[in-house]
Amino acid sequence: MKVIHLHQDEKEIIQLAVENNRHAQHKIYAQFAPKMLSVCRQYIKDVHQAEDIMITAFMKVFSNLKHFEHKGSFEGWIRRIMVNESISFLRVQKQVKFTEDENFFEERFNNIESQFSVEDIQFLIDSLPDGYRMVFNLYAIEGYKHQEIAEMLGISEGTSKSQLSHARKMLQDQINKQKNYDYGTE
Amino acid sequence: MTMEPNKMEEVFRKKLNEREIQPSEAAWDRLDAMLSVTENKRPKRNFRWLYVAASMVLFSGVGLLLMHQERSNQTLPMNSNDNVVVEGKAIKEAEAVSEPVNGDGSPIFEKHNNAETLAEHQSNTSTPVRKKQKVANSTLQEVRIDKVPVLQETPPVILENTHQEPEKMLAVNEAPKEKPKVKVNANSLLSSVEGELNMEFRETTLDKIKKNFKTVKTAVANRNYE
Repeated sequence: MKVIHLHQDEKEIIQLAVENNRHAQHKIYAQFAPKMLSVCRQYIKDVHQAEDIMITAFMKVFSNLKHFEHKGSFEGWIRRIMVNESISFLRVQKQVKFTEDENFFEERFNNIESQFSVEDIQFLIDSLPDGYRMVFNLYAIEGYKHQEIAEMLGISEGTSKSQLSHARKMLQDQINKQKNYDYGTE
Repeated sequence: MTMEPNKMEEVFRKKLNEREIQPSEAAWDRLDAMLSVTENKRPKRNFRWLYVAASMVLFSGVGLLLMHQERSNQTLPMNSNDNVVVEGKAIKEAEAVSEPVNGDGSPIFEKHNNAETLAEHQSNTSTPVRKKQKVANSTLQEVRIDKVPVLQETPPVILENTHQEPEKMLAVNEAPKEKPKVKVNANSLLSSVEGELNMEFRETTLDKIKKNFKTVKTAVANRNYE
Protein backbone atom coordinates (compact mmCIF):
# COMPACT_ATOMS: atom_id res chain seq x y z
CA MET A 1 0.00 0.00 0.00
CA LYS A 2 2.74 2.41 0.94
CA VAL A 3 4.61 1.70 -2.29
CA ILE A 4 1.52 2.37 -4.36
CA HIS A 5 0.93 5.59 -2.47
CA LEU A 6 4.49 6.72 -3.08
CA HIS A 7 4.21 5.91 -6.74
CA GLN A 8 1.02 7.90 -7.01
CA ASP A 9 2.76 10.73 -5.19
CA GLU A 10 5.57 10.69 -7.76
CA LYS A 11 3.06 10.69 -10.60
CA GLU A 12 1.29 13.64 -9.08
CA ILE A 13 4.50 15.60 -8.64
CA ILE A 14 5.56 14.81 -12.20
CA GLN A 15 2.19 16.01 -13.49
CA LEU A 16 2.55 19.25 -11.52
CA ALA A 17 6.08 19.71 -12.84
CA VAL A 18 4.80 19.21 -16.38
CA GLU A 19 2.43 22.10 -15.71
CA ASN A 20 5.48 24.23 -14.79
CA ASN A 21 4.74 24.15 -11.07
CA ARG A 22 8.06 25.42 -9.74
CA HIS A 23 7.53 23.81 -6.34
CA ALA A 24 7.11 20.37 -7.92
CA GLN A 25 10.10 20.98 -10.18
CA HIS A 26 12.22 21.87 -7.17
CA LYS A 27 11.04 18.76 -5.37
CA ILE A 28 12.19 16.57 -8.25
CA TYR A 29 15.47 18.48 -8.47
CA ALA A 30 16.12 18.21 -4.74
CA GLN A 31 15.39 14.49 -4.79
CA PHE A 32 17.65 13.56 -7.70
CA ALA A 33 20.29 16.28 -8.06
CA PRO A 34 22.92 14.79 -5.70
CA LYS A 35 22.77 11.39 -7.40
CA MET A 36 22.74 12.92 -10.85
CA LEU A 37 25.69 15.17 -10.12
CA SER A 38 27.53 11.99 -9.12
CA VAL A 39 26.60 10.44 -12.46
CA CYS A 40 27.83 13.46 -14.40
CA ARG A 41 31.00 13.52 -12.29
CA GLN A 42 31.80 9.97 -13.47
CA TYR A 43 32.26 11.32 -16.97
CA ILE A 44 33.54 14.82 -16.30
CA LYS A 45 36.54 15.39 -14.06
CA ASP A 46 35.74 18.99 -13.19
CA VAL A 47 32.93 19.19 -10.60
CA HIS A 48 31.80 22.65 -11.71
CA GLN A 49 31.64 21.57 -15.30
CA ALA A 50 29.75 18.46 -14.20
CA GLU A 51 27.28 20.69 -12.38
CA ASP A 52 26.77 22.79 -15.52
CA ILE A 53 26.00 19.63 -17.44
CA MET A 54 23.64 18.47 -14.71
CA ILE A 55 21.71 21.77 -14.91
CA THR A 56 21.35 21.58 -18.69
CA ALA A 57 20.31 17.95 -18.36
CA PHE A 58 17.68 18.94 -15.78
CA MET A 59 16.38 21.51 -18.24
CA LYS A 60 15.95 18.66 -20.70
CA VAL A 61 14.30 16.55 -18.02
CA PHE A 62 11.68 19.24 -17.39
CA SER A 63 11.09 20.13 -21.03
CA ASN A 64 10.63 16.44 -21.91
CA LEU A 65 8.75 15.47 -18.77
CA LYS A 66 5.42 15.31 -20.62
CA HIS A 67 6.91 12.49 -22.73
CA PHE A 68 7.79 10.37 -19.69
CA GLU A 69 5.44 7.39 -19.87
CA HIS A 70 5.82 6.04 -16.30
CA LYS A 71 6.91 2.67 -17.73
CA GLY A 72 10.43 2.43 -16.33
CA SER A 73 11.75 4.01 -13.16
CA PHE A 74 11.73 7.78 -13.10
CA GLU A 75 15.27 7.84 -11.72
CA GLY A 76 16.46 5.62 -14.56
CA TRP A 77 14.87 7.95 -17.09
CA ILE A 78 16.55 11.02 -15.55
CA ARG A 79 19.86 9.18 -15.33
CA ARG A 80 19.74 8.37 -19.04
CA ILE A 81 19.30 12.03 -19.84
CA MET A 82 22.27 12.88 -17.56
CA VAL A 83 24.48 10.25 -19.25
CA ASN A 84 23.50 11.42 -22.74
CA GLU A 85 24.14 15.06 -21.85
CA SER A 86 27.58 14.20 -20.38
CA ILE A 87 28.52 12.19 -23.46
CA SER A 88 27.39 14.85 -25.92
CA PHE A 89 29.33 17.46 -23.92
CA LEU A 90 32.54 15.41 -24.17
CA ARG A 91 31.99 14.67 -27.84
CA VAL A 92 30.89 18.11 -29.00
CA GLN A 93 32.60 20.54 -26.60
CA LYS A 94 35.72 18.56 -25.86
CA GLN A 95 35.90 17.05 -29.34
CA VAL A 96 36.73 13.56 -28.06
CA LYS A 97 37.56 11.39 -31.05
CA PHE A 98 37.70 7.63 -31.11
CA THR A 99 40.31 5.96 -33.22
CA GLU A 100 38.78 3.00 -34.96
CA ASP A 101 40.60 0.13 -33.35
CA GLU A 102 39.36 -3.42 -33.43
CA ASN A 103 42.18 -4.85 -31.31
CA PHE A 104 41.34 -5.86 -27.84
CA PHE A 105 43.33 -8.07 -25.63
CA GLU A 106 42.60 -10.35 -22.80
CA GLU A 107 43.19 -8.86 -19.42
CA ARG A 108 42.85 -10.50 -16.09
CA PHE A 109 41.88 -8.58 -13.01
CA ASN A 110 43.38 -9.48 -9.74
CA ASN A 111 40.68 -9.79 -7.18
CA ILE A 112 40.53 -6.47 -5.45
CA GLU A 113 39.35 -5.90 -1.98
CA SER A 114 36.37 -3.65 -1.49
CA GLN A 115 38.60 -1.42 0.63
CA PHE A 116 38.60 1.06 -2.22
CA SER A 117 36.79 4.21 -1.32
CA VAL A 118 34.57 5.99 -3.82
CA GLU A 119 37.19 8.72 -4.02
CA ASP A 120 39.81 6.13 -4.94
CA ILE A 121 37.53 4.70 -7.60
CA GLN A 122 36.78 8.13 -8.99
CA PHE A 123 40.50 8.92 -9.02
CA LEU A 124 41.15 5.75 -11.02
CA ILE A 125 38.39 6.54 -13.50
CA ASP A 126 39.54 10.14 -13.80
CA SER A 127 42.97 8.92 -14.84
CA LEU A 128 41.47 7.34 -17.97
CA PRO A 129 41.38 9.30 -21.25
CA ASP A 130 37.90 10.73 -22.01
CA GLY A 131 37.12 8.10 -24.65
CA TYR A 132 38.10 5.15 -22.49
CA ARG A 133 36.27 6.62 -19.54
CA MET A 134 33.08 7.02 -21.51
CA VAL A 135 33.04 3.45 -22.73
CA PHE A 136 34.07 2.08 -19.34
CA ASN A 137 31.34 4.06 -17.53
CA LEU A 138 28.66 3.12 -20.05
CA TYR A 139 29.58 -0.55 -20.05
CA ALA A 140 30.73 -1.30 -16.50
CA ILE A 141 28.71 1.22 -14.47
CA GLU A 142 25.56 1.89 -16.52
CA GLY A 143 25.34 -1.61 -17.94
CA TYR A 144 24.84 -0.73 -21.60
CA LYS A 145 25.63 -3.33 -24.27
CA HIS A 146 28.44 -2.73 -26.76
CA GLN A 147 25.88 -2.34 -29.53
CA GLU A 148 24.10 0.42 -27.59
CA ILE A 149 27.38 2.15 -26.74
CA ALA A 150 28.42 1.99 -30.38
CA GLU A 151 25.16 3.72 -31.38
CA MET A 152 25.42 6.33 -28.62
CA LEU A 153 28.98 7.29 -29.49
CA GLY A 154 28.75 6.80 -33.25
CA ILE A 155 31.49 4.20 -33.31
CA SER A 156 31.68 0.55 -34.31
CA GLU A 157 30.94 -2.20 -31.86
CA GLY A 158 34.53 -3.43 -32.25
CA THR A 159 35.86 -0.01 -31.28
CA SER A 160 33.64 -0.02 -28.22
CA LYS A 161 35.06 -3.39 -27.21
CA SER A 162 38.67 -2.35 -27.79
CA GLN A 163 38.13 0.92 -25.86
CA LEU A 164 36.78 -1.08 -22.95
CA SER A 165 39.69 -3.48 -22.97
CA HIS A 166 42.15 -0.56 -23.08
CA ALA A 167 40.33 1.08 -20.20
CA ARG A 168 40.40 -2.08 -18.17
CA LYS A 169 44.07 -2.58 -18.85
CA MET A 170 44.84 0.94 -17.75
CA LEU A 171 42.77 0.56 -14.62
CA GLN A 172 44.52 -2.72 -13.79
CA ASP A 173 47.91 -1.10 -14.24
CA GLN A 174 46.87 1.74 -11.98
CA ILE A 175 45.59 -0.62 -9.31
CA ASN A 176 48.78 -2.71 -9.49
CA LYS A 177 50.85 0.44 -9.18
CA GLN A 178 48.82 1.48 -6.18
CA LYS A 179 49.24 -1.93 -4.60
CA ASN A 180 52.96 -1.95 -5.20
CA TYR A 181 53.15 1.53 -3.75
CA ASP A 182 51.14 0.44 -0.73
CA TYR A 183 53.31 -2.65 -0.22
CA GLY A 184 56.41 -0.54 -0.65
CA THR A 185 55.41 1.82 2.06
CA GLU A 186 54.39 -0.82 4.49
CA MET B 1 38.43 -13.19 -22.71
CA THR B 2 36.54 -11.45 -19.95
CA MET B 3 34.07 -9.05 -21.46
CA GLU B 4 31.55 -9.53 -18.69
CA PRO B 5 31.72 -7.01 -15.88
CA ASN B 6 34.17 -8.48 -13.35
CA LYS B 7 34.23 -8.31 -9.61
CA MET B 8 36.24 -5.13 -9.52
CA GLU B 9 33.66 -3.47 -11.74
CA GLU B 10 30.88 -4.71 -9.52
CA VAL B 11 32.56 -2.92 -6.64
CA PHE B 12 33.02 0.21 -8.75
CA ARG B 13 29.38 0.18 -9.79
CA LYS B 14 28.07 -0.36 -6.29
CA LYS B 15 30.18 2.35 -4.76
CA LEU B 16 29.59 4.87 -7.52
CA ASN B 17 25.83 4.34 -7.50
CA GLU B 18 25.74 4.90 -3.76
CA ARG B 19 27.62 8.15 -4.09
CA GLU B 20 25.88 11.49 -3.89
CA ILE B 21 27.48 14.83 -4.59
CA GLN B 22 25.62 17.80 -3.20
CA PRO B 23 25.38 20.47 -5.89
CA SER B 24 26.14 24.09 -5.03
CA GLU B 25 23.39 26.37 -3.73
CA ALA B 26 23.59 28.45 -6.87
CA ALA B 27 22.78 25.43 -9.06
CA TRP B 28 19.04 25.51 -8.34
CA ASP B 29 18.91 29.29 -8.75
CA ARG B 30 20.47 28.94 -12.18
CA LEU B 31 18.07 26.17 -13.14
CA ASP B 32 15.18 28.24 -11.78
CA ALA B 33 16.23 31.21 -13.91
CA MET B 34 16.59 29.01 -16.99
CA LEU B 35 13.13 27.55 -16.42
CA SER B 36 11.65 31.04 -16.07
CA VAL B 37 13.25 32.11 -19.32
CA THR B 38 11.80 29.18 -21.25
CA GLU B 39 8.43 29.65 -19.55
CA ASN B 40 8.33 33.25 -20.73
CA LYS B 41 9.47 32.29 -24.18
CA ARG B 42 6.88 29.60 -24.75
CA PRO B 43 3.66 31.61 -24.40
CA LYS B 44 5.16 34.32 -26.59
CA ARG B 45 5.74 31.81 -29.31
CA ASN B 46 2.23 30.50 -28.85
CA PHE B 47 0.82 34.00 -29.05
CA ARG B 48 2.70 34.65 -32.24
CA TRP B 49 1.26 31.50 -33.74
CA LEU B 50 -2.16 32.54 -32.53
CA TYR B 51 -1.80 35.91 -34.25
CA VAL B 52 -0.77 34.27 -37.49
CA ALA B 53 -3.56 31.70 -37.28
CA ALA B 54 -6.16 34.31 -36.34
CA SER B 55 -5.22 36.61 -39.21
CA MET B 56 -5.25 33.68 -41.64
CA VAL B 57 -8.70 32.62 -40.47
CA LEU B 58 -9.89 36.23 -40.70
CA PHE B 59 -8.60 36.66 -44.26
CA SER B 60 -10.04 33.39 -45.49
CA GLY B 61 -13.35 34.11 -43.76
CA VAL B 62 -13.62 37.57 -45.29
CA GLY B 63 -12.62 36.17 -48.65
CA LEU B 64 -15.32 33.52 -48.48
CA LEU B 65 -17.87 36.12 -47.38
CA LEU B 66 -17.02 38.41 -50.28
CA MET B 67 -17.10 35.52 -52.73
CA HIS B 68 -20.47 34.46 -51.40
CA GLN B 69 -21.81 37.98 -51.71
CA GLU B 70 -20.48 38.33 -55.24
CA ARG B 71 -22.30 35.14 -56.13
CA SER B 72 -25.54 36.41 -54.62
CA ASN B 73 -25.06 39.69 -56.50
CA GLN B 74 -24.74 37.77 -59.73
CA THR B 75 -28.00 35.99 -59.00
CA LEU B 76 -29.81 39.17 -57.85
CA PRO B 77 -30.16 40.86 -61.29
CA MET B 78 -31.82 37.70 -62.61
CA ASN B 79 -34.39 37.89 -59.83
CA SER B 80 -35.03 41.58 -60.38
CA ASN B 81 -35.71 40.93 -64.10
CA ASP B 82 -38.21 38.28 -63.14
CA ASN B 83 -39.75 40.67 -60.72
CA VAL B 84 -40.12 43.28 -63.43
CA VAL B 85 -41.94 40.82 -65.64
CA VAL B 86 -44.19 39.74 -62.80
CA GLU B 87 -44.84 43.33 -61.82
CA GLY B 88 -45.79 44.22 -65.37
CA LYS B 89 -48.32 41.42 -65.27
CA ALA B 90 -49.49 42.61 -61.90
CA ILE B 91 -50.03 46.11 -63.23
CA LYS B 92 -52.03 44.78 -66.15
CA GLU B 93 -54.11 42.69 -63.81
CA ALA B 94 -54.66 45.65 -61.53
CA GLU B 95 -55.75 47.75 -64.48
CA ALA B 96 -58.01 44.98 -65.73
CA VAL B 97 -59.65 44.83 -62.34
CA SER B 98 -59.97 48.55 -61.91
CA GLU B 99 -61.13 49.44 -65.44
CA PRO B 100 -64.55 47.79 -65.34
CA VAL B 101 -65.22 49.50 -62.04
CA ASN B 102 -64.30 52.84 -63.62
CA GLY B 103 -66.35 52.20 -66.69
CA ASP B 104 -69.51 51.09 -65.01
CA GLY B 105 -69.35 52.95 -61.75
CA SER B 106 -72.93 51.89 -61.10
CA PRO B 107 -72.27 48.60 -59.25
CA ILE B 108 -70.40 50.51 -56.62
CA PHE B 109 -73.33 52.91 -56.34
CA GLU B 110 -75.67 50.05 -55.92
CA LYS B 111 -73.55 48.42 -53.30
CA HIS B 112 -73.32 51.59 -51.34
CA ASN B 113 -76.99 52.28 -51.77
CA ASN B 114 -77.76 48.80 -50.51
CA ALA B 115 -75.52 49.39 -47.59
CA GLU B 116 -77.24 52.68 -46.87
CA THR B 117 -80.68 51.17 -47.20
CA LEU B 118 -79.63 48.40 -44.91
CA ALA B 119 -78.49 51.00 -42.50
CA GLU B 120 -81.86 52.70 -42.81
CA HIS B 121 -83.73 49.52 -42.04
CA GLN B 122 -81.58 48.69 -39.10
CA SER B 123 -80.97 50.99 -36.20
CA ASN B 124 -78.56 53.90 -36.61
CA THR B 125 -75.62 52.19 -35.02
CA SER B 126 -75.73 48.58 -36.26
CA THR B 127 -72.40 46.81 -35.92
CA PRO B 128 -72.66 44.39 -38.90
CA VAL B 129 -73.06 47.29 -41.34
CA ARG B 130 -70.15 49.06 -39.84
CA LYS B 131 -68.03 46.00 -40.25
CA LYS B 132 -68.95 45.69 -43.91
CA GLN B 133 -68.19 49.31 -44.52
CA LYS B 134 -64.92 49.06 -42.68
CA VAL B 135 -63.86 46.34 -45.05
CA ALA B 136 -64.71 48.61 -48.01
CA ASN B 137 -63.06 51.88 -47.04
CA SER B 138 -62.12 53.51 -43.79
CA THR B 139 -62.46 57.23 -44.53
CA LEU B 140 -65.73 56.97 -46.39
CA GLN B 141 -67.47 54.77 -43.81
CA GLU B 142 -67.67 57.26 -40.98
CA VAL B 143 -68.82 60.05 -43.25
CA ARG B 144 -71.58 57.87 -44.54
CA ILE B 145 -72.63 56.65 -41.11
CA ASP B 146 -72.81 60.22 -39.93
CA LYS B 147 -74.94 61.12 -42.92
CA VAL B 148 -77.30 58.17 -42.56
CA PRO B 149 -79.96 60.09 -40.57
CA VAL B 150 -79.75 62.96 -43.08
CA LEU B 151 -80.39 60.52 -45.92
CA GLN B 152 -83.61 59.39 -44.30
CA GLU B 153 -85.08 62.91 -44.48
CA THR B 154 -83.82 64.12 -47.86
CA PRO B 155 -83.29 61.54 -50.55
CA PRO B 156 -81.77 63.95 -53.19
CA VAL B 157 -78.86 64.54 -50.87
CA ILE B 158 -78.06 60.89 -51.26
CA LEU B 159 -77.48 61.42 -54.94
CA GLU B 160 -75.19 64.32 -54.32
CA ASN B 161 -73.32 62.28 -51.79
CA THR B 162 -73.15 59.29 -54.05
CA HIS B 163 -71.97 61.52 -56.88
CA GLN B 164 -69.08 62.57 -54.78
CA GLU B 165 -68.37 59.07 -53.70
CA PRO B 166 -67.51 57.55 -57.09
CA GLU B 167 -64.93 60.21 -57.61
CA LYS B 168 -63.45 59.29 -54.30
CA MET B 169 -63.80 55.65 -55.15
CA LEU B 170 -62.09 56.30 -58.47
CA ALA B 171 -59.31 58.03 -56.67
CA VAL B 172 -59.05 55.00 -54.43
CA ASN B 173 -59.08 52.72 -57.46
CA GLU B 174 -56.48 54.83 -59.18
CA ALA B 175 -54.19 54.52 -56.17
CA PRO B 176 -53.35 50.83 -56.86
CA LYS B 177 -52.42 51.86 -60.39
CA GLU B 178 -49.79 54.18 -59.07
CA LYS B 179 -48.60 51.73 -56.43
CA PRO B 180 -47.06 49.18 -58.85
CA LYS B 181 -45.15 51.99 -60.54
CA VAL B 182 -43.78 53.05 -57.18
CA LYS B 183 -43.05 49.43 -56.40
CA VAL B 184 -40.95 49.09 -59.55
CA ASN B 185 -39.01 52.13 -58.55
CA ALA B 186 -38.62 50.78 -55.03
CA ASN B 187 -37.23 47.50 -56.28
CA SER B 188 -34.73 49.14 -58.56
CA LEU B 189 -33.88 51.47 -55.72
CA LEU B 190 -33.56 48.54 -53.38
CA SER B 191 -31.20 46.69 -55.68
CA SER B 192 -29.13 49.83 -56.20
CA VAL B 193 -29.11 50.46 -52.45
CA GLU B 194 -28.13 46.87 -51.91
CA GLY B 195 -25.23 47.35 -54.26
CA GLU B 196 -24.23 50.46 -52.36
CA LEU B 197 -24.57 48.58 -49.11
CA ASN B 198 -22.33 45.85 -50.46
CA MET B 199 -19.79 48.44 -51.45
CA GLU B 200 -20.04 50.03 -48.03
CA PHE B 201 -19.73 46.64 -46.37
CA ARG B 202 -16.68 45.86 -48.42
CA GLU B 203 -15.11 49.17 -47.55
CA THR B 204 -15.83 48.75 -43.86
CA THR B 205 -14.55 45.18 -43.82
CA LEU B 206 -11.45 46.27 -45.67
CA ASP B 207 -10.97 49.00 -43.08
CA LYS B 208 -11.45 46.43 -40.34
CA ILE B 209 -8.92 44.10 -41.96
CA LYS B 210 -6.49 46.97 -42.28
CA LYS B 211 -6.96 47.84 -38.62
CA ASN B 212 -6.54 44.22 -37.55
CA PHE B 213 -3.47 43.87 -39.71
CA LYS B 214 -2.02 47.00 -38.15
CA THR B 215 -2.67 45.73 -34.63
CA VAL B 216 -1.11 42.38 -35.48
CA LYS B 217 1.83 44.16 -37.04
CA THR B 218 2.40 46.39 -34.03
CA ALA B 219 1.97 43.46 -31.67
CA VAL B 220 4.53 41.39 -33.55
CA ALA B 221 6.85 44.41 -33.75
CA ASN B 222 6.56 45.00 -30.01
CA ARG B 223 7.22 41.34 -29.39
CA ASN B 224 10.30 41.47 -31.56
CA TYR B 225 11.53 44.53 -29.68
CA GLU B 226 11.11 42.67 -26.43
